[in-house]
Amino acid sequence: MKVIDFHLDDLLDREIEGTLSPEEDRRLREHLERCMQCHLERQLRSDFEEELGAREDPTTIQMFVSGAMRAAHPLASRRVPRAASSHAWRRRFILLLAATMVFGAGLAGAEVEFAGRAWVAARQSVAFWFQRSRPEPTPGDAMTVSAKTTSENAPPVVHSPAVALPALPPDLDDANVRSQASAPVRRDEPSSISPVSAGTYRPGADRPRVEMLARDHESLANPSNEQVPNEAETAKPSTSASTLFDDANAARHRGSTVEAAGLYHDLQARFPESQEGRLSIAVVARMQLDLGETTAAVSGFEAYLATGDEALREEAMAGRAIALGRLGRIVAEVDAWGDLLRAYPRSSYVGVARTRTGQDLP
Amino acid sequence: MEPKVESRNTHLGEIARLAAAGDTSATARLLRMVAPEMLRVVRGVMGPYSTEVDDAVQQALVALIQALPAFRGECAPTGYACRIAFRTALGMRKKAHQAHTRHDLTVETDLLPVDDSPSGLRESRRRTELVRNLLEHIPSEQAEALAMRTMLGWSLEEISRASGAPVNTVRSRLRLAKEALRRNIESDPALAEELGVG
Repeated sequence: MKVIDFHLDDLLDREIEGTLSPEEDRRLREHLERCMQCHLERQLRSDFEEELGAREDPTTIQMFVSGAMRAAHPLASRRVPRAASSHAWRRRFILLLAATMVFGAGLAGAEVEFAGRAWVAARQSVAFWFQRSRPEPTPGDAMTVSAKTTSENAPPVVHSPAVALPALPPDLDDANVRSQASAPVRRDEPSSISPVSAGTYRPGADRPRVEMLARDHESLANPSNEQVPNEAETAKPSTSASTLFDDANAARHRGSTVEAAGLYHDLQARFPESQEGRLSIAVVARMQLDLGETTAAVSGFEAYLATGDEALREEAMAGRAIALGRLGRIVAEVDAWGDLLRAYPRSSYVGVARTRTGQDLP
Repeated sequence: MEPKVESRNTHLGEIARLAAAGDTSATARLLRMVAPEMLRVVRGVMGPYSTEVDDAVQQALVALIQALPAFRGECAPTGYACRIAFRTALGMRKKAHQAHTRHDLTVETDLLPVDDSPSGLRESRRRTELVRNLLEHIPSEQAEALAMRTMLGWSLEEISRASGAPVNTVRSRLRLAKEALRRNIESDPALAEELGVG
């Protein structure tokens, strides 16, 4: 063995510990001058120390731990009982919707026009009943905006009752969670709210179901309405942002999801800079969340938060967290609840947020 | 070993034993204690600019929880956890590289040259990236030893306890890993000159 093949690993260790004697220190220096490998190793330790920097703060560590505990352990014990079996209703209506599609398609073979109308009407009724399946007057709504108090200067009154912890989505269920150790999780969402820009949200960009329903509604009213209406037809100079917002909220409270979606869409298109226009982004996002358009809901909530508007900020943060949870984006969800807890330590969502971030774990 | 470190290891070993037996509270405590080291390993393997660090940490923690019932206490719990973190992160890094090679549509940000950095920092980044790339191509035992040595700054004895291998075996693994690193650098004279090695 050559001298250079005998590496002084032990002396390198003791150098870090600061327990080298002067003689050992001299030996190590001499060796490092001759041995590229030990020189490189010593340099690499220093490089990584600099690159990896300081230790992570305890809050971040706690969030990772909570997320892992939630993901790895059987979920049943932590699931909150589903309120008023709304998910059961949702399933029934999804089945009804599917059945209607089959029925509509079958009819289409015989009578195209009739089938088309029946299909659109059925979807409307599904949307109507879907809204009705939630308790009224909207205590289950995490976000209720009083239209009457909304004006250009006064923010709307926002009621934010505690929201039931959503059950974890099927794609986050035990089997898939277990497979996470071997399959990489897609991570294309920001871990916090701040990097999101308003430019990322385009109403209609991913054609959420709410807007599809709105278009269906227009088609039902005017079956030949294939052309893009000209400006003269669409311009309604007498309509203000607050009027449109009031009308949309009223439609939503009546359960006319289709009409409400259309009105909110108009509001955003015609008065994008108004406060009502900004608020409508959050409200539509909430509707999308309720209708299962979860990805679109996340974009909507993030777009609203990026506007800097404060009126529905707390609700939008909670909505975003819920949506991320339903998408199975555990880390982002935990981050989102953490952001909410920091921004609103007395929020009515504190209980949910603490459960979801695992702060109530032993 | 220092008495304080020994005491912590004993304490950690006891918690790990309870966690392995299915005690949820002990599992949470164990995770809190080992997560900082695991995070460091993941960051070291994946690079500080990788967007997948959070996912990798999460997956590694989940993998640790699932592996706990098989933990027999034959090695240090922190080392056990760090090896799981290392394997998870390296697996994700390899998959990312494979996808990158197949599609070549995305740019891996941790491989981007840091043009606006001072030259010393740039060299430092080149060296650490070199290690990261090497980890994918040498035997896993050598790669683990090199990662624990350079990223965590562990001593031979600590690596030995973590891996359950004798100190001389660890010494040998490290020697082979460092030789591979040297060969990599020497095969590229420009790189060797840039890094001031050779």
